[in-house]
Amino acid sequence: MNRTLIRKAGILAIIPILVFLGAFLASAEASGVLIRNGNPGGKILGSLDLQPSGMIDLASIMDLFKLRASMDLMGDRMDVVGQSGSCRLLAGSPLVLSRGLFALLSAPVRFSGAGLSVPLDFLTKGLPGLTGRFMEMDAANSILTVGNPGTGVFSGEKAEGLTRLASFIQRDQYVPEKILNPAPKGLSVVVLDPGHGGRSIGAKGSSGTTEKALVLSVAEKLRRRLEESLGIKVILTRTADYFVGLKERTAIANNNNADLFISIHANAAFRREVDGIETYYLSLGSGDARAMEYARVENEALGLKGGPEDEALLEAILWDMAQTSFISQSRDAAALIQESLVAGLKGNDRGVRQAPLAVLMGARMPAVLAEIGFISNPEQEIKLNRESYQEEVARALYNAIEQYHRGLLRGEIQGGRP
Amino acid sequence: MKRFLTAFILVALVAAALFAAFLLGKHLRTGKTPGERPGDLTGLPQTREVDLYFADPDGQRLSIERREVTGENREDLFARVVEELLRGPTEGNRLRTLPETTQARTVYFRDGTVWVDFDAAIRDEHPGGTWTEVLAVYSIVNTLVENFPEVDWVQILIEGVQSDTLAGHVDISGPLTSRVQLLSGEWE
Ligand SMILES: [Zn+2]
Repeated sequence: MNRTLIRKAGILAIIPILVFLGAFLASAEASGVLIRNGNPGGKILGSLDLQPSGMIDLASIMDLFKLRASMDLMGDRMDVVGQSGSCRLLAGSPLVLSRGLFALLSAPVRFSGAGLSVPLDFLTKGLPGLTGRFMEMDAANSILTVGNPGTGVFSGEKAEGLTRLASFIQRDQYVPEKILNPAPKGLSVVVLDPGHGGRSIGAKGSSGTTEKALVLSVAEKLRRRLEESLGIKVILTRTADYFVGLKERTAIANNNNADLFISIHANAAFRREVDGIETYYLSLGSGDARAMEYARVENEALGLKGGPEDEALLEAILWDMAQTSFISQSRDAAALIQESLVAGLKGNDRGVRQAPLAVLMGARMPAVLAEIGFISNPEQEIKLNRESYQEEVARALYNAIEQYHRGLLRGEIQGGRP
Repeated sequence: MKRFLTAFILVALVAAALFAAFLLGKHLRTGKTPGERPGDLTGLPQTREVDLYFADPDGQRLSIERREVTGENREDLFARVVEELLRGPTEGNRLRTLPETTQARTVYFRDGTVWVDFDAAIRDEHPGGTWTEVLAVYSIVNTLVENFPEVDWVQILIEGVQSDTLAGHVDISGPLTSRVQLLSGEWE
């Protein structure tokens, strides 16, 4: 009597569990990953949403597996800590670094307004080391099976592999941003960078014009035009006369997922007569020093020991190389800007040039620097000081950006960011 | 006994001749007197013809001016060469690449790298402009690397510390090597 009652109660209790399980399985099939305990009985621990790009929001993984994280000030790397270990993620990079080991994800970690998102294989490559639990992915059914505590370790390669990896990346065989490149899409966010500011005055004209004031005025005029006529989001790296570091400027662009970065400067030379217009994009093989430091490590076969210095070196290399994937788009943008400035201002064409410019190095989007005119040339200085001439400069820059935007929409220029 | 002596003298003569031939051969091969190693000027006052890299009148490219420079030893020679760069060009309407008021505080050479420490004037008195800064940096780097085979890298310091840029544009955070294409106004 008692026994049947218990059995009946048991069956009744199982029904809601089955319904619950069914609902979870259905939702997992739609657009997520079901997380299941590996024990007999296989308790459902939860599910994770899969974005259309195949990425998962890192915050949801952290919630589910009780991980903590700290993000650095520049917002481009994150240390994730779990019960059994920690790892470091770098935005824009496919690397997971963990105490002398690294794993290579199928796609770079991405930074979005909400935080970082990681590709699906982070669950099997990163999570075991953090949770101490073995993870097995059934990709066909989108089910992740979680092992018992003490069964998982970080299954990365020895950090000596970082040397090979970095040279592999340097040879440009690895083009992170192209992996997730979607159909043509125009500009949505443009970051304008008025050069210098605060204690960095920049060039000075003989009647007292300063580069920092002039370029801010031009950037504001350009911002107005872009917002009004093109309806895109424009962010200035500074909006008044204060100092902003060069890496900080690029970090602003990276963190806002900008599609284009334009640094605006005014030129100067040792001779007053020199005048004209120049537009720059980054020279490859910039960061000579890092390349050398790197070659030294490789040549002397010191090998990377995976210590903090090696991670710092690798990060420096990745920072220097961030722009490498966007060189051809940057060249296209520079050519359009140069052409438009020369035509619009009837200026002397000093050409599109490459140079090792610190402000462009860390940019993870097409990035250029425009030298709009020489304030060391007294005639030019007078012109550049005029509001009407500044409007003409802004209009010429606007025309180039609009052309670039249309080029992107027509698929003539390959898009930068996914 | 006499025969023994004759044999000994013969052997000694042959050995001496061989040794002389060896020394002469070595001298002929290197073209240098014994004791002088290429590029090693330590302790020896040296006068050298040096190609100084200045800028062309339009500030577009680097342009060479040849000058004789004398130094007490190797590091001193490098310091004198930097001084000549700071002194500026004398012919052909060439432009200077570095502010007139700049001074080099120290010049130091080790393991193929010359460290040149400038005072703040190199940054504060620089007129600005991206290309003007490229020419400033590489006038120093090219001059030291191209004239002295023992120099592979140049590390620029300002007031004793490494700096991200010279005057806000060009990366000088680490050691740099020469860019001869700047003679035709191009980076590469
Ligand atoms: Zn500037």
